[in-house]
Amino acid sequence: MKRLSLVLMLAFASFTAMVAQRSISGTVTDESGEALIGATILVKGTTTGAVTDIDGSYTLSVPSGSNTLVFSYTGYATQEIELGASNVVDIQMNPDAQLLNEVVVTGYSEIEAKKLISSVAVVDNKALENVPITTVNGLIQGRAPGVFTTQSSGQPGAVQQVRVRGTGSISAGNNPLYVVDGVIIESGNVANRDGDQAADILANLNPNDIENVTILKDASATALYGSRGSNGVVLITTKRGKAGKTEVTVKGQYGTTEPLLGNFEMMDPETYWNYERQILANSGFSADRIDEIRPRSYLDNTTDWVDAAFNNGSTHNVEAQARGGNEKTRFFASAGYFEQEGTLIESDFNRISTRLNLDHFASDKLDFGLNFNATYSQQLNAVSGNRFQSPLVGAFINTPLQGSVNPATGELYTGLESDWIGFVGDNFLYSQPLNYVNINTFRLLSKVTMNYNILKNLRFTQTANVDWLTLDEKDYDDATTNDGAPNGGDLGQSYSNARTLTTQSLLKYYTTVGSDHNIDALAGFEFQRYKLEDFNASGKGFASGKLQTLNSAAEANGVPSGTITDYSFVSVLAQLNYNFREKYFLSLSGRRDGSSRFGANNRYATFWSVGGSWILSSESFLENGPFDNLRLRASYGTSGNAAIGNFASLQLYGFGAAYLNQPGSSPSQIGNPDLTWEKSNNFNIGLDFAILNSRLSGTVEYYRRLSTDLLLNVPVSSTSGFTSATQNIGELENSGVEVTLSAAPFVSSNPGGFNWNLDFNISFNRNKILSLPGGEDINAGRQIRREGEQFRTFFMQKWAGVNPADGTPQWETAEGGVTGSYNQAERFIVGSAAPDYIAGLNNTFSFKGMTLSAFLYTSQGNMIYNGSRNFIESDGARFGWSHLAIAGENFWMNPGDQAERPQPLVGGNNASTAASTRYLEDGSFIRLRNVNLGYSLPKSITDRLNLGRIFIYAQGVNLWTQTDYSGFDPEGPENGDEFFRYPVGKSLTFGLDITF
Amino acid sequence: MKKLNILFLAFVMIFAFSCEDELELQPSQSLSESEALADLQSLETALYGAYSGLQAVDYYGREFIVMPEVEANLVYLSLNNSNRFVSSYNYQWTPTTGDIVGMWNTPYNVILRANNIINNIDDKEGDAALKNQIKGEALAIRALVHFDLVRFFAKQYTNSTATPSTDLGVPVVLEAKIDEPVRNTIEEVYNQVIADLNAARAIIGDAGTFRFGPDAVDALLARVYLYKGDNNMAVQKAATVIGSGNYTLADDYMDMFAAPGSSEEIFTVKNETSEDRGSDNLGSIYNPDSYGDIRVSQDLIDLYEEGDQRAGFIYEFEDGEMYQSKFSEQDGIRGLHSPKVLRLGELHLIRAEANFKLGNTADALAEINALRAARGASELTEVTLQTIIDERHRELSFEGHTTFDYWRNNLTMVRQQCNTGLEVNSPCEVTSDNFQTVHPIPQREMDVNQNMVQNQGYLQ
Repeated sequence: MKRLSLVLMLAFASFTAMVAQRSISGTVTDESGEALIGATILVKGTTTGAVTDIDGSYTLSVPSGSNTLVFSYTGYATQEIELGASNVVDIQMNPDAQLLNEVVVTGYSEIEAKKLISSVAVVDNKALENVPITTVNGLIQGRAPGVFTTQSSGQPGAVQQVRVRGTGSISAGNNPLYVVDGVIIESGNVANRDGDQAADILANLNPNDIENVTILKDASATALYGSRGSNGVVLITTKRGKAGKTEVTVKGQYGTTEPLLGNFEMMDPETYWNYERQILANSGFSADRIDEIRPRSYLDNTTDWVDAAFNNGSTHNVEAQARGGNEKTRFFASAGYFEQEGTLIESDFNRISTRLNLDHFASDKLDFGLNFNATYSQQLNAVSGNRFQSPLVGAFINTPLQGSVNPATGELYTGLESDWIGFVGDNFLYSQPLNYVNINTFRLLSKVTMNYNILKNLRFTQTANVDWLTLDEKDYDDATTNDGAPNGGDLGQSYSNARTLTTQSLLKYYTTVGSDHNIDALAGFEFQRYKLEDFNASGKGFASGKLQTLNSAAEANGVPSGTITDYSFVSVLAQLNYNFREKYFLSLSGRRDGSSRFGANNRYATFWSVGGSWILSSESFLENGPFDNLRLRASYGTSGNAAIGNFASLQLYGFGAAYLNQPGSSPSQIGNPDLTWEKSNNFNIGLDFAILNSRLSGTVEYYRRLSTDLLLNVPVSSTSGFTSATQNIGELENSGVEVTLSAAPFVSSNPGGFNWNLDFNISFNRNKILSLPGGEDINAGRQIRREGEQFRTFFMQKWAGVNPADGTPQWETAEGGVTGSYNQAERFIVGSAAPDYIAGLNNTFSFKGMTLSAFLYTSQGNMIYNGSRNFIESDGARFGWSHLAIAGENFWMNPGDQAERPQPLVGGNNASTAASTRYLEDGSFIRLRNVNLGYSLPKSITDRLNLGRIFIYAQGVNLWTQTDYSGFDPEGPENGDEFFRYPVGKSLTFGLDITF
Repeated sequence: MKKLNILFLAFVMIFAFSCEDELELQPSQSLSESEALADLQSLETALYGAYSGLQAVDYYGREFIVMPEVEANLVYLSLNNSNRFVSSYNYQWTPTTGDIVGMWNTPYNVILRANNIINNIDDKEGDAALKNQIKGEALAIRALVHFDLVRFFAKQYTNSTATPSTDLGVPVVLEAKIDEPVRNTIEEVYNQVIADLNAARAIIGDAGTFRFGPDAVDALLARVYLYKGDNNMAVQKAATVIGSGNYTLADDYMDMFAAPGSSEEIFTVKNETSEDRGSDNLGSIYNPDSYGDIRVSQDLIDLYEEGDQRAGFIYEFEDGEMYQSKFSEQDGIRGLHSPKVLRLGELHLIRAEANFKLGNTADALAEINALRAARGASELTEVTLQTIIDERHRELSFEGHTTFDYWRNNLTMVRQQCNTGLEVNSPCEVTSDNFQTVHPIPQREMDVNQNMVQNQGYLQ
């Protein structure tokens, strides 16, 4: 192995004509004897090389004086072959669990895995391909140690939460930074009409276009992202063309999804009827009155609302990919259509995506690249969970004693009828098909890169990137429904346009001093400007449900609104890497950022890191030891978190407070000109090892991330007129251990024989608040921020069961006694929403053309406050709503009863449903996240059909879950607060890939 | 090739130096505080902003009108409810109850809006009359809000369990700052309210029914003095307003509620049609075609005699229960209402009550009878505190006075219609010395303000 730069050059530069002395040819196959397409063959010590074609064949001219060929392929051990007499060299590659020579993308450059100092996690396209999940975040769950992903909503296309090495900030953002092909892009939600089910703009990226996802975790890797790197960086690299015969793959996929409602079971009508009558009797109602309020006739027309709200969803995916090219020009092109029908009625998502990645090598000095990605997606949103009129909440609160069809007319009830007994005058089966929230997103990501080799070892790269996002939303309420009736129908439309322009100028240099000192360096400048403009208009009074445009509205519904917000970043960055004999490595990085988001007094900040590694297995004293690889890595450095509001530093007045149709102003924000970045100091130490011919390999890492100058929305006394103020105060620590193991317990010696691979990772993260302003606690609803405690610590009254004497609720007091008065109950620290550990285990078996993989994911030790259960296990507080089946079990009836639940009374029993540990539950779970069974048809068949490869597969997602949690899904929001979420689904998908 | 290299470097440098201005971005929909309060015109805009704060659902938009009623006996909370105001009706609220938290946060936000005007106006150039008007209105708003807070979160001044000079009221906030203020005594809060109103009265002019003017300030003073037990001043201030001749009792009580701006209104927080909040409109909690959770108790129905116009709002719905339509519609919008914060009917009742307490029984009787005559009710022959309170129930029903009337007069609130099978289970009697006649300071405030002291009966 020579210099890093050579590999880089290989990736970019065209092969210069050499004086050919000898022509070598052959084929490269994988461990099962299948042709490896795109394997790289390099003449050692030169930039001369070739890439295998679709049959795995290559031909290469080897210059005189060279007699070693280096064969490499991502995921396989690189082999060096001394040339013998024969001009034919056939090679079988073996999987390299250690991925020693894989090139790892680190954002501004690439580096060989072997030379890596920092802590990164790579998820390659094998784990991403063909999984019927809309966004990339859903795919990396459990695959990357230290990365905690949770799917808190099953709404197709909804935002997912991702945390890299714990929650590093209290008030500023905690989402990692997303970088696609080297450029920082916007992520999250841009929609403005709907909250928590909103569209994730990352859903506009087709997962099948992704080559790999790399997650940067420590400072040595994130320091180059400066003020935005402290929550980790997710680098997404898309597929590029490869020289050789054009390879066309057609993919087809179909699947079905069934909603996962877990342990959440509602009362059946008969039980419900008896239970409510019991509540009335408990409350002292006369028998006559009970018959009047809950007559037997209510059982004549009942509805299972959960069954009505949910059905089996489906996914369809059709796409075509083509990749190919020659020595001058290479391309990857894809077009796909993905469609997902949600498990909740009237929710779906579809996406049309197109991509063209083009590389052109104009000369050995100049090359160009283009990444062009245009996507259009349409999301039909099952109106957000916090609304009674949505099927999501309606399914769980509508009384089963209410029929959905009016027996008098045979038509669906609208809910506005006087004989409708549900307390929300709405029948979602009627209203949901009429009322909709549609979000249509168009996103264009276009990047042009020019590379110029100023000198042989000095390369200049100029990149310009446009991220153009337009989003239109339409929210319609029909006049005949509860939502639309007050206004005679209403329609809201909004249009947002977010554009980000990024330019990057990079200089890369490498040199070798003597024969031992290898140096490479990077310097760059980056500018980014973001602007979001939106407007919103609503109309009301529609003559007909068929007229759904604003100019059909009788009048405006409120004043149309519009906002503009923007930010900018200006940055310079540099990195210096040095190694001595490829045994001792040192890396220095720095970045200086300026941002419009920060106060005038603190506009610029500098971030840096230093890291080193030592390959012990290359030392003579370990040469004959058991280690195929043994490496120690360590790094320390800083990064920042700039994820606060765009104008958070300014003292502001807003103008939304009109009176008498005159504009009015009111204070909207407390100013803080000293506001600046959160800083985090990261220490990371890791040990990589490989033994038994690399059949067992792994990594153990320890890290400590100290976040200082935390951007805190410090709660302030409301007497100030504000409830919080943003300040840079506080310290938070995340520390943890990550272990990754890869093993090949069974490797067949025959091509196509039986192989078993096992990958395991486990992450422990401990989060601790080190300091808060004045050492004072910050209360955040049912949680508390307290020095010495975890960030997501639950703080609430402790449930002390039911008083056997009178069936009233009890809580613990400070002295350890019990009280029947919630107002006298003390609050205690009662657990954390953060898991003790998360782990993933993947087993892959292959035999002949068949592969079977099963991926288990677990999260253990986290608590969830089940706010949904609080709603519908309410001891009569929500009389006439729906009730959970368990609410009717084991409640207090007679003095002396040792009951689990208080005596249910109309209006509730002494605030028994007020927040307490009664509704706090263990959210641990184990889930069979993914099972994949695939089969490649034998070459004998594909040859007869004149096709390259035929691959058929079946894939199951979330097939099995083990949990004690009583809600529908333990995979809840990261903050541990559950409230009627769109449940995730269990899906089964079948697909076919054909390569020509 | 050399040339090209230089070009590249130049390109980099140009970018590096041209971006400085790009870091100076200003928001597009907000102004800095100094710009927003720069001159009289912008201060007037801020004054509208302060009035706008009164419209919040957490304040005069709904909660502050509804809670004093639903905690009393003239209405009841139906079994079939949307879980709103349940803890108010059954007295199961806690320091984290949302309505109570909102009734603390929102009024203090309005005080901030008023303070920023009061404290930034003196040095501004311009028309002196306009300057006085803006400042006077801001002072009146500040007084109103402090008074509402002290009524809601502290013992009533005249309650027998209260010692106004030592018992805690609420923090008096006179300037914008972030700190942890202590609770002033009830007396100190009243003194500040009266001082602000007097200061306002000296400089304020008439600006229409929907803004504070001299009469509204006097009317509020009359109410404050009545609550304070200063009956002489209450009579005097009420007489000033009644005697101004600017207001006349409505010919038709029901018409008065059809649209804002009737002849009786002294100060009304006006909601425009564009401020329609749908189901959050005040009327929606009463209207059966919306939430319809709160219905009319037999206790109130029994107070009315045949022919009393004020019973006209009470009607039987098709479910057989009694509802009220005082707030049912404005400008054709369901549930929209502009709360009449101060109106002539109340001023008569204030003067009658104060006169009665001063021993001027004949004056009190005459005043009550005059009001009753205007409303189509028969003449009373004698007057007692109870008949005056009953008259207040008839006249001011649903308008947010009822619990205050009980607690400040040391009367027990009795629900005759109680736990009959129509309502959420609730206590049938609350005495005026019960700790729950005072709402708890929100837990949120207790947590952030080390100087805050919780009310008796709630966990300290």
